[in-house]
Amino acid sequence: MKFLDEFLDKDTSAYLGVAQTLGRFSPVSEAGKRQLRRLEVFVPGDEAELIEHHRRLKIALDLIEFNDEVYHRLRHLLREIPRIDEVWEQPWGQAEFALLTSFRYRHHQIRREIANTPELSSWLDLVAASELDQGLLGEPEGSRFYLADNRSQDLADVRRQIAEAQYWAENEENEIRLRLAKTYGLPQGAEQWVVDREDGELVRKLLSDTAVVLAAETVSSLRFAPKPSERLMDLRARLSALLQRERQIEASLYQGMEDRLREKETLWDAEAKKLVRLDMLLAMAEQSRTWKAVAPILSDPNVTLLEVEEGRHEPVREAVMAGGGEYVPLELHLASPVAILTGTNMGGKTVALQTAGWLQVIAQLGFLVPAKRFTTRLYSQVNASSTQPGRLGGLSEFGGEVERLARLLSLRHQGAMLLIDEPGRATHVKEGRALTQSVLDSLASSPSLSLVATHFDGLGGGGIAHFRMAGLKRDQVALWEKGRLDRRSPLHRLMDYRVLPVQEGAKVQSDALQVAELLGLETAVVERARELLKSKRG
Amino acid sequence: MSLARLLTNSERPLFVVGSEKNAGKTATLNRIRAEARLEGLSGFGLCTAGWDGESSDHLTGDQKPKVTVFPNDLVLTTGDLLATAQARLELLWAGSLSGQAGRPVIGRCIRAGEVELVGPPTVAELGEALDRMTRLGARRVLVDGAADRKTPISAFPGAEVGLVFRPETGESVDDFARRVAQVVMLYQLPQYESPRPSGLRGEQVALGDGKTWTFHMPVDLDEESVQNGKLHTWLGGPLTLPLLDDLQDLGVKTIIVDDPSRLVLPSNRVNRGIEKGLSFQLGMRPSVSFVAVRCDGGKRRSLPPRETLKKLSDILAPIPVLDPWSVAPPLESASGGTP
Repeated sequence: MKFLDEFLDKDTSAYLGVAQTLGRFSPVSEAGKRQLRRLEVFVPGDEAELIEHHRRLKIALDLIEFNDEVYHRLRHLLREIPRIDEVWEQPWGQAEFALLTSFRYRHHQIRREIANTPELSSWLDLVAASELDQGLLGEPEGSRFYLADNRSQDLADVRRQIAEAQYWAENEENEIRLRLAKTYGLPQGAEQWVVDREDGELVRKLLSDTAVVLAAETVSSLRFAPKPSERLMDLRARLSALLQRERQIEASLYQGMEDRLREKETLWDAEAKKLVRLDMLLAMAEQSRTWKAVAPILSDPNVTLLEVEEGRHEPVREAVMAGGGEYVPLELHLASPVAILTGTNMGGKTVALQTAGWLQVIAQLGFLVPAKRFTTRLYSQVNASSTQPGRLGGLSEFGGEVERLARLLSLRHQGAMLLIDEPGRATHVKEGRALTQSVLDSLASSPSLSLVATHFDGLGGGGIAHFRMAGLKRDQVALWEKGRLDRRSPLHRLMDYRVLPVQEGAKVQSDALQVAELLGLETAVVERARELLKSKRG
Repeated sequence: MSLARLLTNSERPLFVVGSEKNAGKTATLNRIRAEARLEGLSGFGLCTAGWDGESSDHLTGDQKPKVTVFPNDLVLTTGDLLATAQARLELLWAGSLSGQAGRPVIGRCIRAGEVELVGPPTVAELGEALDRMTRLGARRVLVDGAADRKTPISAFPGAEVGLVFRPETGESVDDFARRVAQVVMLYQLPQYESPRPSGLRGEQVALGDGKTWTFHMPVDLDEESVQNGKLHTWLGGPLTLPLLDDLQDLGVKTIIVDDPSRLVLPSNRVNRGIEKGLSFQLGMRPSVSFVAVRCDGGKRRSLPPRETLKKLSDILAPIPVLDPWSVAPPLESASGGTP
């Protein structure tokens, strides 16, 4: 396994829409959400693990399908389970024991919920609550934490004495307050009493009452408070000492518990990781179900093969559907390590590349893939180079492209999937074409799978497969030209987005001028361009 | 009037909002809760927004009142503060991450005593805490403090507020009453009839008719864009004095802010704007549950309680008016109802 950011750089992730996809992927536990930042990817050598992972996904899918009550209870428990990874680095008090109690309670509930799903149960192999906490955190059915009196006789004794002292202190205070309230009509619930100076009679009486002290005075009013009796002072002093004693006993008990629980830190951490794996598995299953996805078929790792039947790039599909368009899934059967993809402008070459790359990435992340059938092998990395400008300031489009291309080509000996979108587009056409041919040649002998979208003619040969986008629907375009279709018809209604194999040596079809006209470029300009093209050919 | 009724007349969260620091929020909350306890009521949820870490009033030097909790109350605090508290709590929830004041916890009071409240630092986390306390069975959640620019009350739809004031240095009863009335008036501005424009960000201004909106940066607005005041103006952030001046210069006629805490300007400027034909409206109009004043607000910040309470009650009726410590009884209008 390797981390996603080692498998896919940021530019490729953005180009393929991977970040967008993962933004909607929803593990529910705090630790699971945190794990999203460090997702792991199956890479060559992990084939058996991936197949095992698919088997577990199937179990999770069955759980969602046939036992959704258990599934929802599991998701709820995972949502509520706290992260405990940072607790070991801090000094402990009641809050930390409460955190661990909350974790242990939900861990125990999850263990019980999956007991009837033996495959999940044996995979996770969650330990019993008593192994985790050694009975220190109370009954496993309890989610609350309080250092109960029965933890120690000393604690019970001191708390009993506190309760008595509190009772008598409160009683004494209430008696004083009640007497003052009744005698002078003061509100019993007020902590102190503010009296207008104008209330001379009341002020005089309160000032002369030995059970009252003057707490503050202003030009307008005087503030009085009940004067604590000697007995109350004694009770408060006793209470204060007892509270101090209670804290000492609690601290000692906490320390003993902490020492014993810290011995099991490794076990707690391991159990927490298991629950993250469960959370990720359920979230993946849920996502796969939403996509109506299938398990990818892994080919011989030494054979480069990519077969996509009705593969769907879900974020693209959703965007197309939201725009009222009709989404065309990808069909691609590739048995050679390098392929070029040509076709009409805006005919879907980039989306085809993105779809192939996106399906591969999510398959290696462990998702089921939205396709009717998806056969592939595991790659060490997926990397894309498109004509988007480089990130370094001052680089032209071509400069940015070359920078990315150089990085991509450096991966070709590592068994990667490489996607190159229109190389050489931003420079002189002859040099761009030569550069593209040279790139293709360098890729042909590598153990990587390379898909290259281009407008250049006459590339390929020597085992390089050639595909083209089907392009404009001639019959629909003819209707459009005759004015029988709405002049504002969106281009996608006139376009056939299928990927078709091309015989070696066939001409590349561009239709740039036709597309420009369909997009609304002035007819006169388009016609002039056609004339120029004809005269040049002539 | 029974002060306990202020807690029992609704189940919605109640934010006790101070006009300034140390206005008397906690004293007010303690008084109302003490009255409720005298009537045998408990099980309230208690929390605050943020934590200022000060233990004494910077004006009077008085020890800031801690909150006394009683058995069955739910409390949001932290483990660190709990360690030195007199009260004992059975902890029902503990947060995964520790903050400056320790690990956040929610506990049910087992043994009465004082405890310091600590609130989460963000609006979203405070909202979660309120929800969690309600789910854990709080009869009603009382929020001590906040509801200001950092914690806009519009983030808590349906919340009620209790407003707490303290006289300013040398202020007369009349001036104080006028100032309080102006602030209360801000809470009673009309509620805008349409929902908040979706996606409006803090620094933006939305122009529209209540159905469709366009978003702009304030500096990009001109007289043409506001269409001579035909369009309503919903502010994503606070209304400050310079912004109000700019909007008035552009001919804006209707200004909507999310809630009264977004009006960050002297309240008399709102009045002056209204007199000039401006309409101020609120995206969310919280109900004012009561007004509390601490009449002995310091050496030169004190007012005669009885006269002050009477004056305010006459002006603010039917909103109940109280002083948490005054021997003068809390007052409300003859109708006896809360608005």
